[in-house]
Amino acid sequence: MNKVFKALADPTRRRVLELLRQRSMTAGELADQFSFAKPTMSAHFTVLKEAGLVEAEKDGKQVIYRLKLSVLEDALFGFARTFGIGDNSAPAGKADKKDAPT
Amino acid sequence: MTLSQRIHGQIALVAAVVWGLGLTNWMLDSGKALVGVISMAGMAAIWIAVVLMERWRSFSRYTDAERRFFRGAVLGAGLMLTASLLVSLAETLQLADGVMIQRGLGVGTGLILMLTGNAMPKILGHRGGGDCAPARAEALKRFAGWALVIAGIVYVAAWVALPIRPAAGVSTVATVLALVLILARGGSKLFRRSAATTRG
Repeated sequence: MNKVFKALADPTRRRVLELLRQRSMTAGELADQFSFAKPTMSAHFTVLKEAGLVEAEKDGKQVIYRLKLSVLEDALFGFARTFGIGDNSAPAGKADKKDAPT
Repeated sequence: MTLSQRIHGQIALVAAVVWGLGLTNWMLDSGKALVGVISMAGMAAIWIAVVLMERWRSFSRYTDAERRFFRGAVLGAGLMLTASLLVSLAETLQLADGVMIQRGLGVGTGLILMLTGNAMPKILGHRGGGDCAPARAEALKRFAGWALVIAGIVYVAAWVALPIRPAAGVSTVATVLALVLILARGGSKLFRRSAATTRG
């Protein structure tokens, strides 16, 4: 559960989950929505995968990400979004390209 | 210890509890021999099924999610057998009256409903194709999960707080309502999709 809390405490990762809520996306499509460097986004995806909140499937050269939230995780996600947990640390999509995920 | 040994060790532990309770039931009240025999045979059947599944596909080749699902299913079945034997034993030893057992079963059923609903969107995973577009299918799974969890919460609350008759009514209505809402939402999505296909 610690991994889930850590993953949800970051606004960028929450934004990724919000995007995936609309539809499955490739890593490239997701990265295009942010101004972070690709390694930074890749690290965010890794944190989400390790927490089991998303699943990645290889399709040729692309990696497709899908949302994989249980109801409890969905509720925690909504809670973190409503109360803006971690919002002061790094606004989603606005941070410097050198920023590393926490 | 290998993964296979660990899994069989866990099953052996649950089986020991089930067989122990089954035999105790049988010895204390010969009228409940059938309950004991069915539970013990059920646990043996689960173990045989696990052995056969392992022969078909080694546990080490399962993904983490599959492993969790598999372990949850086996241990969940064992726990249900244990619970039914404990209820039977409590009746034999007159440790609990009928009302208490009914409440316990109600709360247990509500908890199962909650756990199933919670895990549903995660465990069902992605299925390509089918009648729903992936995003719609995901949304439907999330909706179904939430509906079952809320129904489970109402179910548990009813069996904890209300008298027996209203508790039975409220819990049934909550479950049926959740299922109707899930079917209605699933049906409306299919209807909209087929209408769009016809127009297109």
